[in-house]
Amino acid sequence: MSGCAKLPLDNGAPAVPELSLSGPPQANNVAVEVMVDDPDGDRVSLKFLATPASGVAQDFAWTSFLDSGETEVFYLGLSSGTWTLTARAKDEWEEESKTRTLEIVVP
Amino acid sequence: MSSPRLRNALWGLVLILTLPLAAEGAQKPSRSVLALDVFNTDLDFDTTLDIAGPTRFFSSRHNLYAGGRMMVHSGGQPDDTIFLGSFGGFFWGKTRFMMNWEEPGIMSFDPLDTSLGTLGFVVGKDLNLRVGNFLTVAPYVSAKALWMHLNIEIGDEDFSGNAFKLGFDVGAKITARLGSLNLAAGAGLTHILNDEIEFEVDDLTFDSKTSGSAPQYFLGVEL
Repeated sequence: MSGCAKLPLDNGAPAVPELSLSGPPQANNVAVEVMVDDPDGDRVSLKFLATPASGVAQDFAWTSFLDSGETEVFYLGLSSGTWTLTARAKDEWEEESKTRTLEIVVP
Repeated sequence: MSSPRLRNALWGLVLILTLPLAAEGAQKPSRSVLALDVFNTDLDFDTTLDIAGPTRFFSSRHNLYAGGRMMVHSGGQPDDTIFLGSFGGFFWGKTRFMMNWEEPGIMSFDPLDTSLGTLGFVVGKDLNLRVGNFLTVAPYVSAKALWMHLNIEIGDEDFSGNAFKLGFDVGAKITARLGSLNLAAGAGLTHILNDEIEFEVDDLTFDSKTSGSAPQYFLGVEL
């Protein structure tokens, strides 16, 4: 790392994550493609929350850190049914993005 | 080397380096400066350890540093328009930041509260240029040695380690003469020479890196 240091006030929150399905969803194996841009180019971590139409929501741990702008596929173990997937990102400075949702129907 | 021995070594070095300044000050007017110091280094930790699988630690929010400095300046006569002076003294400070950690490709965890304390001494030379009746501008160069103490809080437990670093500063100080009390402010760049050095934190080893150069600011009074 080089150059002048960045003060916390200078840091911008990551953009809202871009979510899309990567292929047709299958029970217990739903591939979700995610991309997050950070205005400062900081690395980002993601948190998913999957809420079913009825039943208990699944709260996933924060993912490991990805490069800003990098597209990554995550595999989520969701059972058959309709789910609302919510994702938010945080950068290395713990600044969090707004959330994005994606409706997923798992056959 | 244990912490008390490190501290004793530091005090010894400071005495050796500041005694000549004190002797010089006995012959020429000397001024002591107590200043607030902002030493804004880009200190970075990035290391991968094997704790139940590869675990990577890296810091964030590590850049804000606040501390102080106490210096003795010597050289020159009250009416000199230009003179080469010497200075030396201590500086200290503390910064807090969060240490991120993750299992790469799997998950990340809540960041850890981490602090970095610094105690060091500095010696240098400044070229004092009198501007009008009230201002003195003094470009300076200085060399310094820093003792850094890293503390990571995991749960209710503290894990600590130490490292020595060497560096130098270049910058300029402006002094406004207001009778017996002068105001001094300065800005410059600080550069750490041993860029990458290990902190031994219990049985873990952290590589720390500092940027090639980082801004340095201070504001204080001269007595």
